[in-house]
Amino acid sequence: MQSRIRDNMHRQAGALKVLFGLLEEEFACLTGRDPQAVTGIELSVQELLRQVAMERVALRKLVVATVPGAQNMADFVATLPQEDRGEFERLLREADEREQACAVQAEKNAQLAYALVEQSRGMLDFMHRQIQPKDTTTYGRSGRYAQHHPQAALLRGRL
Amino acid sequence: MPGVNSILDIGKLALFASQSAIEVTGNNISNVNTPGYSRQRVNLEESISIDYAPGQLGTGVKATEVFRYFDEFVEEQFTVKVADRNRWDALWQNLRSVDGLFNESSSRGISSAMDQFWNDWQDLTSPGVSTAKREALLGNTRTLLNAIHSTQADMARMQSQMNGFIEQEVEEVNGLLHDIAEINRQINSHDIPGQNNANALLDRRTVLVRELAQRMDIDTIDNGSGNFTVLTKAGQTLVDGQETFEIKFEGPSSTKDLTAGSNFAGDVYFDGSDDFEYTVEVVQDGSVTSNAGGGAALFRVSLDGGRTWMTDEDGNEKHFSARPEGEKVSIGDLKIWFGSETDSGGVATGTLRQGDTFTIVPKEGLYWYETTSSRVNITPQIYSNGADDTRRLTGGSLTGYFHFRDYNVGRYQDRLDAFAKSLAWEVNRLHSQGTGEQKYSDLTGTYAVDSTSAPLGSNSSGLAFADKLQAGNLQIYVYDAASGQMVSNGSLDFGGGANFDPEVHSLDDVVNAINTKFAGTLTAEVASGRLRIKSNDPNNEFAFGTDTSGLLAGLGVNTFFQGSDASSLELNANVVQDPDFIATSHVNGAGETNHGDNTTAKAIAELKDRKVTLSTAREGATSQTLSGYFNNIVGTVGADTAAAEYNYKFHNTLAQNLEDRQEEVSGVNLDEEMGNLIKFQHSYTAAAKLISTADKMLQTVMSLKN
Repeated sequence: MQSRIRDNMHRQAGALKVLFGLLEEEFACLTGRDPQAVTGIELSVQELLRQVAMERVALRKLVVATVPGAQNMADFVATLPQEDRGEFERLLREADEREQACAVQAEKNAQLAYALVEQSRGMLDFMHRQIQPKDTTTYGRSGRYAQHHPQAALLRGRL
Repeated sequence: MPGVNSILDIGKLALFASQSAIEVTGNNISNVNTPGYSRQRVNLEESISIDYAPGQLGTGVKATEVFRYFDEFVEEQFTVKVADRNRWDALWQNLRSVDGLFNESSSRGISSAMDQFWNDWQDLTSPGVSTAKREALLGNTRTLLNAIHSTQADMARMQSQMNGFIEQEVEEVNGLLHDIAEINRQINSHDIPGQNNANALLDRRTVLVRELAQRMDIDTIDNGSGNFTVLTKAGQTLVDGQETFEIKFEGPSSTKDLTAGSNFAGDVYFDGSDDFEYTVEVVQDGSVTSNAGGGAALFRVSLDGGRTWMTDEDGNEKHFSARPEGEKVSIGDLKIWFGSETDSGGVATGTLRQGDTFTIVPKEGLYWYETTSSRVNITPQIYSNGADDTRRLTGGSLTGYFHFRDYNVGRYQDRLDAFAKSLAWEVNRLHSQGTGEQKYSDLTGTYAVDSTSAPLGSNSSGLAFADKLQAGNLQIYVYDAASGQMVSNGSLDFGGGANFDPEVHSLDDVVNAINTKFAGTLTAEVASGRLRIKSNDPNNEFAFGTDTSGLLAGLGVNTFFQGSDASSLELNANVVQDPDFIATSHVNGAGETNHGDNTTAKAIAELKDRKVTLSTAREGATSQTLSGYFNNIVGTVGADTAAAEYNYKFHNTLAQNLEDRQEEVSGVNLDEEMGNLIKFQHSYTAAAKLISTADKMLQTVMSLKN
């Protein structure tokens, strides 16, 4: 059981390494303004995340099966003899570091993608403003042609 | 009136129109690789029609104008993004060098040399031949000091390089502003919108504006033709039509901003230089006086434009007294005082009122001139929370260079100075209370005061470690050199058996206290602002014991280091000349110097893992181990470099995206132009055919008379 847990963690560590590579590639595609490539990478990222999630579910089951009532890997590691803990602690630390690196990179990607969208939206809004009639109340609700005072005026009516 | 002649006219107009279109297409094709060129088109309009039978008959085509394809909105956004991109680009490119400097230092430089330094002190705690160990300590300490000096010197060189870059950029900016104004003038001469568009000049102006945006963040207002205004984002006008305003890169200066009710007749003066601006704000009414008893105005100091104020190590806001030149107040890296409006040594009259503000720029800064006499400080500035001061420049390579020089390298230098200062103080504090293999017969301290009568703990004393002194006393032991027997000993007497008080006692008082206590045995005097102690009897020598006041370390007496920042930190000349002066032991309660106890060496070696207080004027105090603090500097440089790289890539992507969009509108597509060329060639051929047909028709009409 211990070796199955170790294998599972090795697979997760590998997957997170690949995930980080994919996220970096996605960032490169975003900076290279290649949306088609981003779409392809994003599909791979999602699939990899799904696999990592499955590994985690499997790991949890393995941990609970080994140490009944265990909440996480730390509980499992605590039951191991001192000489066996080192490798698991290293794997946990590596997984944590890679996960954090992935999170930072994903955040960067999201920020850049969002900024590009915002930029496009800004230009679209500008275009809308240009084609929309400046005066949106040309005709009042009663159907009468509205009188406008575009300039600030203190007095109204005839003098 | 329509007829065969009008067909000739129609043909002629069509011929001219097609010819213009071919010319413009040819111009587009030839400029396919010209940077900043916007593709052009001829605007063709139907000519007037004439009412006639069987109805309105057209009179041909009019080539009304040659216009350029250009998206003003995209361009406006592009200039903003270009300024952001170039700011981060300039910062990133330069931070890479600093990152390399510190990464190297962390593996082979300061970090490893410091480890060796602690190890050497540890070696001195064990019994054995100490001469070799002392020499090894001195040798490795020199390595550590060299690493600190070279890192500091490299950073200073980079700052000075930035000044060169900034100077060059400022010159280019002023050149660009004049060029834009000149093009505005030319556009005004040639441009008749909708009829005679000055497309080439408009393209040229766009290129210049882009070049300007690479150097500083700008806004533009285009009211048509040469009525074109360029402003900084903060609102300073740079070009207004044909008029230009200048920016200048100028040396240190100060300005004052007095409150409405203030009658203060004087000015602020300063010595020294720093990478940050000092905002001095009066918080309590008063005059400029050297009277320590009261009456002096109190002021506070900010290093980020008044957002946050300097605090002491307990986090309380620091207040300083307004003093004349004779009692300059040490604040951060500067010495500040008040003089008359015309003379730094003159007497400032009137009363400083709460709210009176003075701004000191102790470095070269960037200024915008509206007229020859009015100037506005537009030097980029970052508040302590990391936000930009939006009243100054915030974009372009100029901002990147300034931030690199002041905010980044300035901060790293301050931290390295704090590290060196703390290393010197902590080691000296322990070393000064120890004894070496030798005792002294004549010793001069290494830290000087500006005023021998000012309390040593005050900001006016000029002592590097004034803020570290505490109330307390110190022990001096006098021995017979030949027998080693103690002749006299005791702590200093500051009048009626009083202890030393840093807020009251000056260097003169310390001299008197020594002379009073050790009259006939030792003589103390002030030599060039430093404390000198010498034995009256050539057969006597002296050593130092416990010092609860910090006076010995503060005055540089019996210390291991001298100097108080990264560039001035050195080994004390005494220990270099004779390593036997390296204090490894101490004088015990019975007044005996036990050379083998190595108490002092142990205490210094244990400093490695002890948390000490380190502080910078801008960032306040922190408690860390010296190694931890240095590693934090390395970490900060790495994080700043990574952030600059990300920001550059981020803004570059957005800028490229906008450039692509502009290129989609104004770029020349050779396939399209070739298609147009064929189209207009056919039009031209057809128009020519029309003329020859009309000619034949005329021939037919003419032949009727025969």
